[in-house]
Amino acid sequence: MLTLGIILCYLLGLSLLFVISRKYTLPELVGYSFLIGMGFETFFLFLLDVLNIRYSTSVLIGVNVFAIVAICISNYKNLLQLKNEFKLPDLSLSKINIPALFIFCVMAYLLYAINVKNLFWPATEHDTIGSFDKLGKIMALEGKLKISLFQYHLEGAGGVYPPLFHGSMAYVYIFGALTSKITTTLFFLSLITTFYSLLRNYIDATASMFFTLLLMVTPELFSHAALSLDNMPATAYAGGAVLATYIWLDKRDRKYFWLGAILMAFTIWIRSDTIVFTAAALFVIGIDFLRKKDLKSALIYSTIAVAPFIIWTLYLKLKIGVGQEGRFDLGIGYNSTRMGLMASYMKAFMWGGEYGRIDGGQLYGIAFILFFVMLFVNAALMFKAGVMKIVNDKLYVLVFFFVALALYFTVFYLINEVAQHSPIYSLMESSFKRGLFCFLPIALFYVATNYASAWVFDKVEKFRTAK
Amino acid sequence: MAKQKPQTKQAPPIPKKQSASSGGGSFSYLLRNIAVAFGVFIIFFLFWNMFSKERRLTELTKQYYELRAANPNSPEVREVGQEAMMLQQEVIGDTSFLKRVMRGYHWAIHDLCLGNLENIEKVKEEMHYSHEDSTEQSLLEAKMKRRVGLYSFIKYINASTPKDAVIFLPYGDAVISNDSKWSFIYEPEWMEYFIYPRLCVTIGDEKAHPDLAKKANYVIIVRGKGYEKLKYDVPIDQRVSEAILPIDSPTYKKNETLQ
Repeated sequence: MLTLGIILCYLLGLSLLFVISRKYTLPELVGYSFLIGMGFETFFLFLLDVLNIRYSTSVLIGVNVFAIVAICISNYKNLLQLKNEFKLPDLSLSKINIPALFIFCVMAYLLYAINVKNLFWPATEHDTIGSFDKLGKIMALEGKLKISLFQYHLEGAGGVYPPLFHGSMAYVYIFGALTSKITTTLFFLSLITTFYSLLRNYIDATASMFFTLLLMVTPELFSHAALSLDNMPATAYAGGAVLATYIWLDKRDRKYFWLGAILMAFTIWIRSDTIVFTAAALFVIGIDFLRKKDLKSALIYSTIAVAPFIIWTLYLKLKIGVGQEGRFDLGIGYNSTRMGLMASYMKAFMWGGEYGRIDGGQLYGIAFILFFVMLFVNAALMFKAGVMKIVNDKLYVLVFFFVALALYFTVFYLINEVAQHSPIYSLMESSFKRGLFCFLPIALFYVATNYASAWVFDKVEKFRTAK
Repeated sequence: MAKQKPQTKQAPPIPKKQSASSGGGSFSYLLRNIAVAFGVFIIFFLFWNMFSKERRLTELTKQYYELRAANPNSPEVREVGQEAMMLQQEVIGDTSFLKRVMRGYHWAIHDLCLGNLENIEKVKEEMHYSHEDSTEQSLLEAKMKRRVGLYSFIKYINASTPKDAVIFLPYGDAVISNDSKWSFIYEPEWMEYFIYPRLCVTIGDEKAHPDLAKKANYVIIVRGKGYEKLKYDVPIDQRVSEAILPIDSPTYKKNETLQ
């Protein structure tokens, strides 16, 4: 039954993908199908709850089959042309990319090994036991989103979180899973396949593989590939959303407009603090609107990206009966102690330093260090390549990164420690630390595709192919 | 209508001679690929080699504990221990920036990922010999027991209480919260995962959850604490250290499953 549930989730995502476009690579299909499929599955769970329809395997099969068939019928003209357009990768020996294949084999083995660990042990992390997995399991048992534990405030901290993550757990439990760890595997697989496919828009397969491997083995992120927490799945959505949006802005490929908007919507459907990416996206889309005057696209994108936040806030207020405002202290003003403490942690995270119990190098390796080094290298190259060329190179990626990071910092600066039952140093060493995952794909995308790196990889690729 | 550029007649492009991915034939292509692959391999090798001492230290530590378990007085134990100590000082002393920022990758790949494969195989064997893997459910429970120290006690709580029970959890004082044996027994959100559909409230938290406190009909006794919640007296000499007791009725079972 679980296999059927997962297949239905992929088919739902796949059918929606083909509404957007017919042209996808295999990694794109693997990555986006699950992310979009699972996003919509949890939206279905939400709708069923609102309509007071109890969850069950048969209800979910019915909803899925109906949705998939309806989407395919409405899109049948596109689907008929698929067989002419889908090309399998050329695997002939004379075209084979040996270095990329070598890196792929390393990645495949590491992925296998981490998944053996992930699928062997049940979820036992404090937050998942106290919140996410519990919510998912009981949602499946009671057949609704607002489970009985809300009545006694026993739902845990994740109860007010948007339902994508624990909803995905509920989805697999409804289909008979004994543990929900399969979702971790599929989210991680989606994260690395989408990141690879996004990189491929700018650099060759060898460099794309290399940077995908670098993202994959980023120590703290890699450890979450065997845990049951929502930060890694949030990274899959946020990273995919930001980079797809960037590619749309850069190349004006409509496919990425829809992918960016849908993934951005699910970014706020998985965690509330990822609203910083929604805000950054609105800022970037606003700039683009001023430059291109494309009002229709700006409005559609903004509506899709913001809608889940409004829907969930209304649900929390009207059905659950809680709000999120009390968690922030908006009148804090400038607090030099708090600012200094947070800045010290930030420095440790970004530059591989040490502060408190944090060792930035141990957590994120060279990911953020390379990002700043490449910024410096490109700034130095301005004199050679021209100021505008460097400034315009991946400008929106940088805007996304810095705006979202500044907002993320601000959100934590404004957190009310009393309402959160946690001092700021503890929040920085736990929530803030894990939230930085979402910035890793953006940072590494810039490292891989900036002017200087692209020049180097181009030379290597020219040598490899003798072109 | 937008102005169009006058079209100039262009000579048709002459197709380049295409051999295996353009220049130089299949063999040259293969060689160039191997050269780049070798470059990538060198990067991986340099990285892996950077942590040879750390891996040696892990091996020595493992060897040390194995030898000590077999014969603590053997001279080999001291030899291996000394070598490990010296190596450990070297490893800790190496605080170069590159090493510091790369150490996490080594940990992630070597310890977290590959090291666990070996461990899991051992655990699987262990579970197989003790017939814990006879059904999927028993296998899951065996894994839970290994991950959550309190799991057997929680199973005992579930077996001793009806599904509609409301249970008082022990207050999370320093003694309980600092003893890993008790995991998070004092956290109602955490305990709820295991005892659902039973409900729970922590002793001392009654004011925050008066509805639950009013309905509470069981209390978990930990380290002999919690007897004050009972509506009957248990003689001191009959008080057990760990148990789950009904609040109203004096019948109670001593915890037999907790080790």
